[in-house]
Amino acid sequence: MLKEYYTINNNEIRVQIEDSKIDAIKNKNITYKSVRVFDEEKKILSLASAVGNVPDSELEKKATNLLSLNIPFEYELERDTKGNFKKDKLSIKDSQSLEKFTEKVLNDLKDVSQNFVINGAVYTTRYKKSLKNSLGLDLSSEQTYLVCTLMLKQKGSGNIFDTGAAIYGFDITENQYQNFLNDTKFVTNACLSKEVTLESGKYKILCEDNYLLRKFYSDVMGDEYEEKSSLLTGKLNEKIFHESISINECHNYEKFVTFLPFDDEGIVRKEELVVVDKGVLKSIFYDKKKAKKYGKVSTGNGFRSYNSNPGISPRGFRFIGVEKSAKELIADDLVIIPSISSGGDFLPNGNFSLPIQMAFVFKNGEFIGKAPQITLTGNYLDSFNKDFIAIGKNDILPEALNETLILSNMTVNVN
Amino acid sequence: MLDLLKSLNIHQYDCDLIDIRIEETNPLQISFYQKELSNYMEEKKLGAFIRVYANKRWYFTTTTELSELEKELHNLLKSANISTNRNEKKDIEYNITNINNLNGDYAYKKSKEEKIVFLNKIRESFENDPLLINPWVGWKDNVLQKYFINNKGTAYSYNKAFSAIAVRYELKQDENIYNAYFNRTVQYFKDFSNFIEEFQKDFAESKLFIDAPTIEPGKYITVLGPQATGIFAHESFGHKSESDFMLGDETMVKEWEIGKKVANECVSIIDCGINDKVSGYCPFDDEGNPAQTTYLIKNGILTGRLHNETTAKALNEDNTSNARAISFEWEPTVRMRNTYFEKGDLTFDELIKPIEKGYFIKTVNHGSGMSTFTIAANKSYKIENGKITDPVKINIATGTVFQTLHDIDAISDKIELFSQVFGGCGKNYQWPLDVSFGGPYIRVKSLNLS
Repeated sequence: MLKEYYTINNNEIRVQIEDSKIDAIKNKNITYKSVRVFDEEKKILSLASAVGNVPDSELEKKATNLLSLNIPFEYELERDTKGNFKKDKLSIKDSQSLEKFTEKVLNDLKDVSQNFVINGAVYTTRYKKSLKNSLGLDLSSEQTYLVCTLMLKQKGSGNIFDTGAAIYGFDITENQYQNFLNDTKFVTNACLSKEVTLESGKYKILCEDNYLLRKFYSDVMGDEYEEKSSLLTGKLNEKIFHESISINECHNYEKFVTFLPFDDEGIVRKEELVVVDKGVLKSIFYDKKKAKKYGKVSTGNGFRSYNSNPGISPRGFRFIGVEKSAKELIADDLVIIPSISSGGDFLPNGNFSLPIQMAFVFKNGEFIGKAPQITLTGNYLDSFNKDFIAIGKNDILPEALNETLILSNMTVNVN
Repeated sequence: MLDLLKSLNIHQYDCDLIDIRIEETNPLQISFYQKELSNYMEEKKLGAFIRVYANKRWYFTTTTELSELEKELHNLLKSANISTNRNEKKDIEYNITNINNLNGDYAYKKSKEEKIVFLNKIRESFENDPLLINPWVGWKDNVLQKYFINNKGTAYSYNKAFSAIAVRYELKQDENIYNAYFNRTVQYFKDFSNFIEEFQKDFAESKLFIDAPTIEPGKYITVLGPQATGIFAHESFGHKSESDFMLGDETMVKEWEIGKKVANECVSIIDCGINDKVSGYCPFDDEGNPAQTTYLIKNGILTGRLHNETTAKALNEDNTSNARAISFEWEPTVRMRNTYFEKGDLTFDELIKPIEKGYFIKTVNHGSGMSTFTIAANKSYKIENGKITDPVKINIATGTVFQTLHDIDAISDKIELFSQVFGGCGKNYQWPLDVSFGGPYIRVKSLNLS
């Protein structure tokens, strides 16, 4: 009988902001754990989990009893791999220094709070994960990071919030902090600015990749791809996007506070995974189970919560080889930049509808006002092919928007 | 467990407010994916959340070590600069309420083997269909036992249990794909007795949507089914009624003055914690206050909003007992319970009869609400000359909340409520909260569909 031990410890200090003031301080230190047992002869597995410091022996016993459910497994477990990965450079380590940091943020945004109510939270997390098995696998990781997310509600507005601001990182540099303050001032001023009159029709939209790639994420999952429910089935090594699009999946991506040096099946990732290279689809994601089923090799994308078996999940995506600046892309035109979108959806054919609650209108590189309430429609494959114009490094709002921005033509419906 | 909490004698500390909430949950989840058992999880989660209010600030901590509650409380008091010395002369008479709901043939009480047999029957009813891709069938139990005490003399315990079965799958014919989802949430096992028949009916209906045409985007007369109506009530108006968003914004409070006309007069929306048949049941909130029914809109007039103790005091209004947390790991904030539209007086046929051209959104994938609300439709139909006709693909319906509330011009005479076990409400990091929602069929004069 093989055994696998999975433990997560989440130690968090949180300062909560309500009505532009510190309202609460919270400490949380919780351990989540599970034991899986594998019967190699019968090719079955089971899992027992708990919140809190329950002894492993108790979970082993429970998991062994649950083998009678006959949950199948066919794959080989990782073995004889050791590693201890650490990202611990956060200078804010205790509740006093976090409170001080929060007070500084509120003080630096004093002007903003004249017109906006600031709600939100600033928190630090020390996140430890450990994965061991009886075949000599012994991996652990530890990371500390800070997240500050603010919801900014314009006084007198009927909205729950009107815009937002965030800063997060394994540590916060002075440059990053200044960008955060500048971006927050920009988005709040944009809220207060006049609304630009737009007619429904085709416009150039400069947007973050996550608006467009939600359907792509499911299209590159091994089970979707192999079962032919993906729009990309059969297109591995074929051109799917414009040639200026290259995307890597990253295990260590500071901008997104992504640090996942191994997956939850013990596969250590040392290099970024090339997903799209100059428009050509290069990878489909598999965990061990799906890889075995479809005759492929796991890409190290078996992730799980402490109380479930793994499923396929990608880490962060990063556009590479981007040379132009976003400012350059919008220098000579009227361009809409979405800032807040909620509630959009994709149809299985890739068509999307994205309601935009806040967008900025730029003309010839200058901000001219906020957009009215609009809905963007299009097809994500078209957005990276026939409707694609260019991709640029975000030098417009470096903290408020992603690292790269996509410029494409989309249909704008004014609500 | 209440005895454990009482034994801490929290009233003996010199502190404005202390409360402790212990929650024991027994979640269970079974799932089949691609025709085989892929997950079985059952566990007991037991933990406590402690709140201290002192010097105009909240201090929170959470722990799974109940044997160390006193130590955790002392640490928290020290953080708040409150003495841990007791005044042992201070005495208190606790007002204790115990509510036990879990008698009877609750679905969660079935053995894991019986649950698996039942899921297998569901699987067998559709798994060999040639159009089927990636079927997922799951069972989930949410069983909650909650205990609460505060230093003002309130103590309660209550429990509730809901179980759900959900089926998710894709259907593919030629190049056309339809994503389908079907679920039922119940308390008693007998309420699953028609599950397979209902599912098969829905499965057959799903096939109509594989090659259904996509509509031309535009503004149309739209009829929302009870699920869409409930999501609209919750996402569009319910969240705006949560008064923590109004703190510090006097202009908004004036703008949202009670008594203001905010909707057509046929519209009444309620938030209620006392209906023990739905997952939004919450007889006491997480600040120890008993539930009641709150009209948010009555006959088109703004009549109430949702409060916890802090917001009620700040806005000088009655507390509506809406302080809720998703689990023992979180602090309570202002949240909804069971939020729904009241019924009107038309039958469904009468409601659609005058519509020459419009659309009917029967079921929904998800919804959200900010300045505009969004409903992502799943099964939708054309309405032509007063009749439901062909299936169509609608991606989303959007609109401005207040305009849409005024544009609702007819409401049907029966309501349906939807409980949630798979999923729930999300707000400020806390997801999923067990809420419920629903309503009748409603007709909207003009809604953006795309």
